[in-house]
Amino acid sequence: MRSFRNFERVLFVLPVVCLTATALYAGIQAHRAQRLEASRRSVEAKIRALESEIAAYRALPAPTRVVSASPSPNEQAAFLRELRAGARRSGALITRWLVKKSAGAAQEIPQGQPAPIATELGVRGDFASVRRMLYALQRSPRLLNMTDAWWRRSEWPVTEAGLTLTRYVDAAPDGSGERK
Amino acid sequence: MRPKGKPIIGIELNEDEIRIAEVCGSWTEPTLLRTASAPAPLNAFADGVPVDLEAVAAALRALVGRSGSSARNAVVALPPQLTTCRIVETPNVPVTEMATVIRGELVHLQIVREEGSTFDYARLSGEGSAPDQAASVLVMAAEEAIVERYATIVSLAGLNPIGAEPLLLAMLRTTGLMVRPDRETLAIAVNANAVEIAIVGGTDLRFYRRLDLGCHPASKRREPAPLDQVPIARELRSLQDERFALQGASSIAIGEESAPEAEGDAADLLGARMLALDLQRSLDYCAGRFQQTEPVVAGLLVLSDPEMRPLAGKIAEALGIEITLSVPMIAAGPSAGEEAPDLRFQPAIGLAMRSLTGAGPPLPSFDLSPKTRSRGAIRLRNGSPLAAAALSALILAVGGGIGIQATSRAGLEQASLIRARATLTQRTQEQADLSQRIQGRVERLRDLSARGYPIATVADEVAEAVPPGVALETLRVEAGGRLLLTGEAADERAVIRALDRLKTSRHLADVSLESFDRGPDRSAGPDLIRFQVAAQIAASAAEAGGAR
Repeated sequence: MRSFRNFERVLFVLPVVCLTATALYAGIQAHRAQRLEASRRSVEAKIRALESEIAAYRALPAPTRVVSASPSPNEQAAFLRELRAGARRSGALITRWLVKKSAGAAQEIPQGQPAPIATELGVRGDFASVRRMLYALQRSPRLLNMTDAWWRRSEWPVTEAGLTLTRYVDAAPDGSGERK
Repeated sequence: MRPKGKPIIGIELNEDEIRIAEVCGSWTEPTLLRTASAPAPLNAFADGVPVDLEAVAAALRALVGRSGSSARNAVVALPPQLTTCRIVETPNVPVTEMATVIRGELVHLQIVREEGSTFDYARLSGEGSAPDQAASVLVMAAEEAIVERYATIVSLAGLNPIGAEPLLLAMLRTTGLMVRPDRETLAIAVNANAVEIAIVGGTDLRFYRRLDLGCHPASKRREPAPLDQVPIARELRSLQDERFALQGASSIAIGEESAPEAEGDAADLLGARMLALDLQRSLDYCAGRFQQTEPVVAGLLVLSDPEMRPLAGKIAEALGIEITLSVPMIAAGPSAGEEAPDLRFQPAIGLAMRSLTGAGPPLPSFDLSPKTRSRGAIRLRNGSPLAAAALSALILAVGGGIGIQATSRAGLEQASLIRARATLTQRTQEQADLSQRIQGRVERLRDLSARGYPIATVADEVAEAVPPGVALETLRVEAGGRLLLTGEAADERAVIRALDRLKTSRHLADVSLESFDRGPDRSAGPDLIRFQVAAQIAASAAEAGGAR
């Protein structure tokens, strides 16, 4: 008798259990989908913000000064060409050009930093020409550091100047380069 | 041509036999599709109650299979000895509260227990129409456990139990086709255990009663109680000469010694007399209560035992009305045979006639299956297992579909999220690289620029600072940004003036006069002063030169 009563109860309970189970299952999955969708939207908003920032970075004007040049075999020739052109425009005469050797320089250069190439430069000309030449070097688009400089009178109106001119080239991937 | 309507099977289970009948159609065109019977399993019943449910169910399943029936809905008969029949007077309450009121009344009268009993009811017509008038309600009750035994048997037999109905009430239903609506009719159902009567008029059930006779009107199975122990026998003796006394029995001396072979007949006659007596009382009661109605002039007798046929004549003689033996109603279906069905199938046919559509006799359909009205329990309707399974499957299909769709959506969202997170990582890295590159470039330019000096700017500053009367000879920038100037001046004041001007220079700091010399041996001449000034190129000058 009890089994018959239980059987009827099962008949009633079964759809309710099915309804509850499916509602629970569907509800959990729908909630999960909503949560994932919210997360996706949040991540997409962050991506848009980042892309906007990246675009702003890329829209920045190109730098007016170049710190270093690529370490190509033509770098020195190109630099000398620029130097001579500057001297010609200034009316000065380059009287000396000597690559300075600095032992152990390689050890001082941190990894990834551009390698310095120092040269001794002698210039001759009247005051204005030498001044223009020095300004040309100082305002060069490529960074040229001037140290150990001297400037003196010679036979009037000639003046002579000398300085150590340091330029920079990018570090070669293998660490080698024109480090002198 | 296939009869209309959904057939159901009526089932009667007793200690001797299992009987089934399948009926369909309408009250105007009923069809008996089939009848079948089989012996009941031995020892499957105890005191009329089925005890070996599996055996009875197996026999029933075999019987249904043999009969060729394809119907699955079935109504089972509850024998009168297992049911209680009462007329209960209740206040005239709304239909929705009737069950509660009746239950309370039954419990109060100790007819049923608070728990474990089931009942069904029908309101008798002709009374209770006024709000303050009591209503007479016919109530049938049974032990829930007993009813469930019968329902279990039907279920185990592979059928769908749609109801459990008192047997004699079902038998009375078979009179439906013979009741004339234009006159009051007495319907009498008799079986081996009990007698129930109903008085119907038109479409109303006016009276219903189970008769308690103390012995059976035509019993061949039971030993009749000793006549001197039957209280009503004494009354019968006094009523011997009255009009409802059986004329054929008037010569029998009740209570007197008689031949043994005559004792059975005497008992039969005594039962018939008692039945007639009770019937007459019921008729008198109805005549008194329903004074506006015509007197009962006809009766229908329903029997389930063919050997009781003579009872019709005896009752007719005793009551003085026309008594017709009710025969199974109906045009037999294609598989039921040509001849009229056996009287033994009256209960099963009456049960199965519940399926007939259209307006039937004013006899109610009772269902004592445990259900909402009697127990407050929720009971599913016909075809419950299939409907529940189908509903469950539908819910599972729909809910599962929605769930799977949500899962699929969640999966897509998760894949999109993973992709978005990868893109975010990539963009973050790209932004960091870009920012670092720009920052590094700026810092590198600042660092490297600080290593050189703006020689031309410093030279211009110095040249501007030199007053008239002072001539510079050399300008030297040493390591660390130390500036040394040598020159000639006409006098000390010119030197001091030059020194003061140099001190105001933006790009020079720590300006100091290192030396001056006016010696006669100097090539500059005795009037000129040679001097040397030291200064420190300011860090701001170096940075400005680098940034330029």
